[in-house]
Amino acid sequence: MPSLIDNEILQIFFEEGRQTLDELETGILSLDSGSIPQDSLQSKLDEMFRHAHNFKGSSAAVGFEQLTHLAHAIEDLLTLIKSGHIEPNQPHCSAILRSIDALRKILIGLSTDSTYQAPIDHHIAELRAAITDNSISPGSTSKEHLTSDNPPPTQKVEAKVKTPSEKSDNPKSAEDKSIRVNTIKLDGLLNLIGELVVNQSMMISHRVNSTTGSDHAVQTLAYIEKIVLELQSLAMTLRMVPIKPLFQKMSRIVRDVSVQLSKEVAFQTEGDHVELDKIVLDRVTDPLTHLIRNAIDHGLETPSDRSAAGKNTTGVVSLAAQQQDDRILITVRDNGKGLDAEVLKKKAIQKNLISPESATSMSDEEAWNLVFLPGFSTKENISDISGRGVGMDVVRKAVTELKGDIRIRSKKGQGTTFEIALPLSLSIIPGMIVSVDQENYVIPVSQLVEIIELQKFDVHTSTQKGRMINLRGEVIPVHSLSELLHSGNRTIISRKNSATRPNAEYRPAIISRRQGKKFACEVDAIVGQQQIVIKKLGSEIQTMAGILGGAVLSNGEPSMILDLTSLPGLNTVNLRALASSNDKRIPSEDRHEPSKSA
Amino acid sequence: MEPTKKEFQAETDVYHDEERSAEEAVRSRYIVFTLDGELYGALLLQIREVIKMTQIKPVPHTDAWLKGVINLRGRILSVMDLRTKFGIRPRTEGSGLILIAEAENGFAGATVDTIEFVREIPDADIEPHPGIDTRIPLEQFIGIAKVGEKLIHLLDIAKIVGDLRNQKQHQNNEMKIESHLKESA
Repeated sequence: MPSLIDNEILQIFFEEGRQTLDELETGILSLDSGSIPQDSLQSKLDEMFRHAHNFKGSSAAVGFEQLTHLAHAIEDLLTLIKSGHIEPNQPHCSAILRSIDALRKILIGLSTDSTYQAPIDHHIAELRAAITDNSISPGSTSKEHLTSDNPPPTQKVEAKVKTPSEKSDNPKSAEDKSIRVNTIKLDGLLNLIGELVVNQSMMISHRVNSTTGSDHAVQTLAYIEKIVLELQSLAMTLRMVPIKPLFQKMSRIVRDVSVQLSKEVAFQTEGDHVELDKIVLDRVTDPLTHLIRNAIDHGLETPSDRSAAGKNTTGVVSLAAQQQDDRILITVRDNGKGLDAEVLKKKAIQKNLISPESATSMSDEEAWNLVFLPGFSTKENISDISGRGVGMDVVRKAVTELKGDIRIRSKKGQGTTFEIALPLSLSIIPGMIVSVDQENYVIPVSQLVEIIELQKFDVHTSTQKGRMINLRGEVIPVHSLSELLHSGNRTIISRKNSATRPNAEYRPAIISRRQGKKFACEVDAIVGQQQIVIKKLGSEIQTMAGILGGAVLSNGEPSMILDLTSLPGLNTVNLRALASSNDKRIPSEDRHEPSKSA
Repeated sequence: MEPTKKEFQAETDVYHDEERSAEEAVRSRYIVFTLDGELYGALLLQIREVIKMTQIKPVPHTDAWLKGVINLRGRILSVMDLRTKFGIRPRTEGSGLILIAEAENGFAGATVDTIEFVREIPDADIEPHPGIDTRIPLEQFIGIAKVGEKLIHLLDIAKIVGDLRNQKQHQNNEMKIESHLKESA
């Protein structure tokens, strides 16, 4: 009886079961793709059989009958494949993969409710049918036999870095070295280390100020300083996990979708060793899944269309990750038909998303970005694959929530590339510290385009649009961060605003972007740059527009991380300015400085 | 201090079961503090710690009584100014203290003038708060207690923190209205 089993044992079972299923799935996928070399096929089959067998055994041990039965049926089929009685083909693999999905589902269900049940009979029937069909007429499926000599016509998985079959003989060795840790504990640890760093830097400044310390104490302090720095950089990596499991998940999706759509797809991955924050990884899974489905469904042509266009009938979808400084760049590329700017515009006009006038002045890139508008779908009929109410707008929203960017590049007839740039970590970001009304605020460096010296520009004031400057020919609105921050709180304005600023010699302003359009934000001073650990604030503050989180500055001072793009007050003013700068490139102000507007 | 001892004696006499009284004693222990000379109390179990006044960073676009945030050993906590919240004139002397209160949905600080004492106040000594001339919603009070000649307003500080957490909706709406007004202006 499951209820009698120690909860801890069950947790181990769930965890191991999940891993075993993942490994079995990886094996089946490589079998299905025909990527296993003939000489190692037998050992791979043995391994798959062992996974199924182990899963069955441990399920029986903890008393989960459904899992045991279904795993048993998988084991039966694998036994026959292993012994050579059945040549594995795609329907076999599909049946096993579907059963693995069912096992996973039950496993998850059982982890919260030990009496959880799901229909499994049809899966067992499917596995049994696969056995009997094959033994009755083994020749009927011979065309689909999956060996490396005879690659399957419909689907192929290529992994540039490492195919599952190339994995080392002992794939567990790496995993065994890691343990699962509750993220709350981890956050607590990071918090304390952050404080340690702050206090240490304060101690250093005390040491500089005083001469009383003995040599020995000074030496020890220097040593502690080193340790703390190392501790901090180590702590920063604790949350980072490799992207590889996500790539494996995607290869499964490619397989399923390509079979479903009868498209021939070669899936390539690159950079599966890249690491990123666990939260980022979790939250990028859905958008990536959508992009991959989309690439196969909408991006790639049908095999006949491809050969008509003189292309290889097998389309290529590639997924790559690479680290660029503080960001992770994930690209999803297909070599399909590419985006047609005119078709996109037409569709957007049809759906009343844009006006015909604005369409004519639209660049190709702007037209591609139309796919991100809510309610936009490039295919006539919403398909089962990528049209399940999830649109590209949801993809962009998810990426934006992760403080990332998504861009499209496309060439007609040659394919489309989606580039997602994500922060390495959601908890640590490079921040620019600025001072406004004697208070320090943090602005994420990712939101920063450049810093200008406002006093070097002619600031034009128009009653309707507020202040503007001409930045290298581009007219951009100028806001005062002080006003933006204090517009809702008159007491602070009256207390502080009068004393500081105007006519200062040096008036820095931060150029940032909102919906692709630049704006300037005037601040009192740029204090410096610092790695910022993002702290959660009480929900009464955290949920406010314009506030991204809290931070502790290097001197221990509490501060707020601002989200310039969602700061209230910016929206209305900025949108108006946008509307006018959108209309025509040259507003009246430019006439004063013809030299700059080139 | 004389009447206090007597009272304590009286209280223990009420409970014949000693174990029960010990548990009761912990649960009915209050930390008593002042705001502009008036006595206020909060359940000791709801107070995590008391710290000296530290740098409070104001938060833009918030009510004045949400004084700002502090850095408490690496955690950023909101701090309420209880004087402002209760409509008491701002403090003119002394730097004050911050009570760190614990609620179901997290911690928050509350500024007070001084801490007077910690004491058990049995439920029998607590009367419902009359709610005269107060800006505090009545449900944020536990009641009013008489200790000797003095009256102590007993606050449900966990409720106050909880209400702070829940007020975000209201506040964000206000902000929306405000920006809307600005737009139409």
